[in-house]
Amino acid sequence: MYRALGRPNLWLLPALALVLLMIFAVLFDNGALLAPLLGEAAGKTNYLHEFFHDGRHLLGVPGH
Amino acid sequence: MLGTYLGRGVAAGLLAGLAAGVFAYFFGEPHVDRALALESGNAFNQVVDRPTQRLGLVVAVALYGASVGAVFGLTFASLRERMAAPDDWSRSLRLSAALFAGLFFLPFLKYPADPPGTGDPSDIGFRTVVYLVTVAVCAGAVFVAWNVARTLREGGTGTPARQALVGAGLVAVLAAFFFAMPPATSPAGFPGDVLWDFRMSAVGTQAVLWAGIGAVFGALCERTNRKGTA
Ligand SMILES: [Zn+2]
Repeated sequence: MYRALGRPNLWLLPALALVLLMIFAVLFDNGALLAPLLGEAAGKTNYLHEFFHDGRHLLGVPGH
Repeated sequence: MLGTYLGRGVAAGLLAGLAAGVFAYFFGEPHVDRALALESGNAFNQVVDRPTQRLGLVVAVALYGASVGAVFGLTFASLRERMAAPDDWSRSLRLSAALFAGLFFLPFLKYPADPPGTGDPSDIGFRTVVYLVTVAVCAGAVFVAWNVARTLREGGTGTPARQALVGAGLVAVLAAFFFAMPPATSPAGFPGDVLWDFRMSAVGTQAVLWAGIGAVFGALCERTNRKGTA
């Protein structure tokens, strides 16, 4: 798959990384992604967790 | 070609994710609200208000849909030649059913979705790892079952014998695995009707998502195929 049609699909790895990052942001992040921006406050405010909160519960990932 | 399938997967996933998000907004949110009302005694970090969280639900399901749509497109591209189904529409529907089972429904049987107020925040890291391991094992088991079924078919085993054997094998393996894994959180004392309604809406959301991905992706493939032969 990585070399489908004989030439390497150079965009495949970055694309997969982006997909994983998106899944992490929506379902699992608890402040780590915003820490570079917000510093200490990222863990306390936990914006992504709070914004995606209902989705995390309804999509079935473990929560509080 | 890989890029084409990836693009179709993302498009199908985004569209189906929006539909599933709207479904969850109308059929899941009421039960989240009931659960939160029960929980109101707890001090809860409210940096985002409820209307924004309801909007966040639709955004979350749509983005999740686009992500798993990408995975769907790449999986379809790499397995297409080996699938027995006669056309892309049937291949797409079968793959979406397999991924619904492997990535959501089989893990759900052991660790069902829980409404707010049932889990212990102190061990969420452990429960998350356990859940991800379960998703990986269930998806892997579905993939192995499909491979075994393919080998048996090519070896000439009849359909009833093959399907009974592979089905029983999958059940036995997953039963042993579920038995070995730590028990799910007990929602002790949580009202059973709210729990049931919430879980049904969670299953409904995923059913809308995966049926939508299978149908939209299949339709996109068939449209191009028709153009190609016309
Ligand atoms: Zn929660």
